[in-house]
Amino acid sequence: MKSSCEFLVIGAGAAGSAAAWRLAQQGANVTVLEQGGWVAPDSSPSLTFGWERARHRTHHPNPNIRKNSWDYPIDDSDSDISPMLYNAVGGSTIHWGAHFPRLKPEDFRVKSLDGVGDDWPLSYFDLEPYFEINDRMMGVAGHDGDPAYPSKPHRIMPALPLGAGAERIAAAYDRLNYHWWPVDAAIMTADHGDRLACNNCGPCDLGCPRKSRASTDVTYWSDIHASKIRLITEARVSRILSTSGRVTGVTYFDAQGNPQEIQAENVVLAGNGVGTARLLLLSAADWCPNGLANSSDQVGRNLMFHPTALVTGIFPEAMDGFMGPFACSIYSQEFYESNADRGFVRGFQAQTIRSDGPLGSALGTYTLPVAWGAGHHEDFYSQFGHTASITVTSEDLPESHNRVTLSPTLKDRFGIAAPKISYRVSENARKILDFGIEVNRGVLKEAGATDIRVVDLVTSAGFHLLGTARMGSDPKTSVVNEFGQSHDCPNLYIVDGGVFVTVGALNPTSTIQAIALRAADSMVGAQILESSR
Amino acid sequence: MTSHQLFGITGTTWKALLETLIPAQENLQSAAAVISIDELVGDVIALSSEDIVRKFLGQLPEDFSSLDQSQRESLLRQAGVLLPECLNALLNATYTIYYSHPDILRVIAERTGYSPTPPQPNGYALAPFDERMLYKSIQRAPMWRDPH
Ligand SMILES: Cc1cc2nc3c(=O)[nH]c(=O)nc-3n(C[C@H](O)[C@H](O)[C@H](O)COP(=O)(O)OP(=O)(O)OC[C@H]3O[C@@H](n4cnc5c(N)ncnc54)[C@H](O)[C@@H]3O)c2cc1C
Repeated sequence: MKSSCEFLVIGAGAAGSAAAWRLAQQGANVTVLEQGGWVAPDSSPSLTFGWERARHRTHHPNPNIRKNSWDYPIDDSDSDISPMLYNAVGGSTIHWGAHFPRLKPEDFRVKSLDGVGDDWPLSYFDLEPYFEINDRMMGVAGHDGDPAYPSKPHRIMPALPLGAGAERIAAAYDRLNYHWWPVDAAIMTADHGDRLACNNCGPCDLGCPRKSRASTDVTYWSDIHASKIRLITEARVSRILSTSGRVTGVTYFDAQGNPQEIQAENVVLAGNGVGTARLLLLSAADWCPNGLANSSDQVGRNLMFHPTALVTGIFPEAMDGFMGPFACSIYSQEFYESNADRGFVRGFQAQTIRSDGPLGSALGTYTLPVAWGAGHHEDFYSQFGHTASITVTSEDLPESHNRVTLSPTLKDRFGIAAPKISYRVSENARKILDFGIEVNRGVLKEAGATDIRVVDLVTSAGFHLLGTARMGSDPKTSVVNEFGQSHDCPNLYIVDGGVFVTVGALNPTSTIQAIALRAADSMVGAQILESSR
Repeated sequence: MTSHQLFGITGTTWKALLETLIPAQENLQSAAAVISIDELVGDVIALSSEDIVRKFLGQLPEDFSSLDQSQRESLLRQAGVLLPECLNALLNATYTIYYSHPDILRVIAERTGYSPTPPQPNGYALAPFDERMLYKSIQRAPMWRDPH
């Protein structure tokens, strides 16, 4: 007999975990299907001597390199940027850096304010109560009073220490009169329950045996309400079943590779901007030949990544950047907004990042690799422990040719078509990157760097998978409404970063999760929380 | 089949190749001194492919190992122009094995004070955040736009 449920959530990553938890908290009957399994925090390679090697092989954020059995391949041969993600309970938060900014109020009104992209059907203030729930669930360290945002609730845990590199950069920002602030980080700086304060070890992306760095397997899934959810792991959904205008369930391959079917009153998709678009396209049927929920032809389109450049300063003094959370110290939003004199619209976030262990420094994971040949050792020792970097994380605007489609040839291990990514960095983003590189050069010079190296596009920085199932009020130009509800199938919801209309220039996860929580309230007909402003 | 037989080049050529990428210098060992060729070849093939590696190596002259460092470097750079993916794979594998080797990590620790033990469970001390550093930033006016 086929089993059935009220809400079937696909994907237990950042968004799916938050949505499933909220649905369960509201009393709904929830089943979650996740193609990966559990990753025990104490299985992190950061406890072993081979940690750096694992990071570049078995634990690489690129599924095409890692090739874990939970993964699916992605054809990125037509893309300037390679997508990075993880497939497990916790999703990509198993690997993420936990830099936890919110999009800004103006990011939701880019069309009205700057004449580009589109406005969202919801605002920052609509999400505000849900940002707050999510902050409590994930655990956020930070410092109150960032002038770049409307006031946020008091950060209970203190911000992370800056480290030597960011201290230099912060002082340079002060001299140049530029904004900077310690980042909100989804990292504990104080013990709470079984989550211990961060011990500054460095490679957050390898997982955190102390559970200091949040990932949804140790946040949402350890909460009491999650115990009411039926979670089926190693279950790869192959198709969402539908009849005209309604979804009825899904088919999936279980851990033994056997095909299964499950019926559902509602399906909630949280497979991320690539996984969700893939599944919608795979679920084409007679009544929707171009893919499920795709009467607008927007499924898979408008893929946005946040193209990123990296400017690295080499300092004569030791910066010890191998200590401390790699992605989290300070950021600057000095050049975030449009300025007509610059020849481009919108702007960039400058995120200071720490450095790496010996192998990461040599390979130059995101920076340039150390030179090979006669100058190798000199180059290595001038860099190792002596660098600090600043990203240019640029605004990425929606363009319909940047998209996810189905590969006609590449398949996963179950024979299901793999996604294909076609993505080109836009002229506007390229101008932002070039401008930001020059700004960051100036900052690092002011900070005392004696050598500056630039990666003008970090092709492996495809961490943010956004825009491929955009929300909007008009069914002709959007896939879902402001609550993630499909215009074509009212009992199908999408709650991951695919629903972003525009993406600002900030890391998206806290906004993705706030959207998922709000959508969950609407699915069960609960009162939508309102901002207290 | 050993890696030498697989690609028809001698162990001496492999060693010369590794010495070209990371040569010995003062008390710093060369890549050839610490890397097993079979391990290297396995990793390079996994990152690239047997065919491409064969083509890449096919561009090196038989007397490669008897040339001096700068001649070998320029030959490798030329081969890398034609098959950049293979040169990258070779470099990636060489750096990965070299910088994971306990002897190399020991030398780095001696020269820099870096602790070569795994990052966990000990980590490093988490200093308190010093909010006095924000003396200037807190004086700034709000810098977000209210769209209403
Ligand atoms: C290395 C790295 C660093 C990052 N750093 C940051 C950061 O510092 N700050 C930040 O904001 N963001 C960061 N990100 C991005 C962040 O992880 C994502 O924005 C976030 O996890 C997206 O949430 P999601 O739920 O949409 O997708 P995911 O978290 O990717 O979860 C999707 C889940 O769906 C499952 N799934 C997909 N398809 C199927 C299917 N067919 N059947 C069953 N299950 C399926 C997947 O297995 C996966 O578990 C980083 C990402 C990476 C990889």
